[in-house]
Amino acid sequence: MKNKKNILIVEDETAFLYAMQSKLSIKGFNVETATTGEEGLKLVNDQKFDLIILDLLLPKMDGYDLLRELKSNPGTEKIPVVIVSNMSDKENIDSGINLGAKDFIIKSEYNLDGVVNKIMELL
Amino acid sequence: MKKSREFFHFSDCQQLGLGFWECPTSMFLFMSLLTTITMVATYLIANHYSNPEMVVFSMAAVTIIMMVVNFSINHGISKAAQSKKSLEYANEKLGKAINKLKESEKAREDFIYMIIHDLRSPLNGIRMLSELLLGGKNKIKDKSGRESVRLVNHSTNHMLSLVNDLLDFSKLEAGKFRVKKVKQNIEATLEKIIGYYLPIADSKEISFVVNKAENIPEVDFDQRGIEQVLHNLLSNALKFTEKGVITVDILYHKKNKNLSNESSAAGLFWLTANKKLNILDNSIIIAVSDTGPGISKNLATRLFKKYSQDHEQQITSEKGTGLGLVICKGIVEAHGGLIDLETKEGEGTTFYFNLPVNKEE
Repeated sequence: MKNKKNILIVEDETAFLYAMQSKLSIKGFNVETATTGEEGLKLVNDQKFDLIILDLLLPKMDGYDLLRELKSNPGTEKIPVVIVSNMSDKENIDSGINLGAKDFIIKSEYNLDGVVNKIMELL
Repeated sequence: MKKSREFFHFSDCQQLGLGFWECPTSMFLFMSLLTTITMVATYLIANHYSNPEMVVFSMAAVTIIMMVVNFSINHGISKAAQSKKSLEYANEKLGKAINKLKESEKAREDFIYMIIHDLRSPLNGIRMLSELLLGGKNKIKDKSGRESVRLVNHSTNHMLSLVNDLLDFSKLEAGKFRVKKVKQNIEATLEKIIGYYLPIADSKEISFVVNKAENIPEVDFDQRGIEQVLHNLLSNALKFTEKGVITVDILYHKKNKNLSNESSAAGLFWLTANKKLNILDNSIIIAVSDTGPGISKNLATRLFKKYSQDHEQQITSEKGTGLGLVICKGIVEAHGGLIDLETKEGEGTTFYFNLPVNKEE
């Protein structure tokens, strides 16, 4: 596959992070990972990404903060962000979408293939 | 002034909620006044006759008796007022204790909700890693190793579904369960969920029959919530039916009167048999009927209730928290609908629910 697409996963749950990273690599994507919001922000400023997969519950700078930061910066506002979280309350989903997330995937409602397929639909 | 009020027990009377004229002292004073007037009048009249002292003496005796009676009544009243006062104090204390209890109950619920919520993350991680090991490039080559991972995956899925049930339940309990209703076609949702169960029915000796009436209007409902209800009813029907038929009926019900006509059109076997169904006027009815063993009356009355005894052994001997139907009830009621069942032991069970159709459009 030429021109591999770059995906960033920001997620502090390492098992999920590893599974996603492996699966997406198998599907032929370049995958970068970050376990904190700050780390993720640094990576976004250094490299170009085609998609960001974002968890909401992160230490210190959480998913919402990072999303707000990304959308307020002209250099990063166009990168599509998908929230993949277990915070499944309506308020969480609404505020994620209102902040500019392209989609909201509830982790426990899909299996690994399900999450990956949903993400690939967005690319 | 205050002293005299206390002496005459007016404050006690007030405490007990008695009016001025209901108070024995007022009555006594009034009677005394009357007695005095009568006494003087009698004296004046008696003066004209032979024995005036006799009249005065008897009047005085009456007054003394009245005083004694008044004293004893007032004594009783003051006792009653005192116990009322202490009762009020105890009530106040009890109220405070109840509020405190409610607060700590709320804190406990929030805490449990948080724990259950947090349980999902690591479980999800395990599930996804095990899936990774079962397929693709990372697949385990060793056969028994793969079987172990398959079992890990199976158990994790089971555990995750329990945790999801618990989470929904604790949301219902804490009043955090909200439905986002959107006016839409419900048939598409129904087809989607049925499609999911068709292969499972095929693998058993079960055939699926779907009866759809033609006049189904759009209805306000929460996609995820109603999907969950349908998943629950269909998976239960499949779980408890070894072979036979599972029938799904969907119809639009306008008014109670026309029930039998509508039912014969839709082919609901239970509608013609039983007219005492729990059905709302102007609503969509969805019914899932199976040809399973049926449910005993005793159990049927408890199915939708939480924490009912031996619930778990009887209804979910294999899987589940036994909360599935409790959650379904919560979801349907959040839509303003009803859910209920009809069952006959040895013949089968029908679970049905209503979703009200909004008339204003």
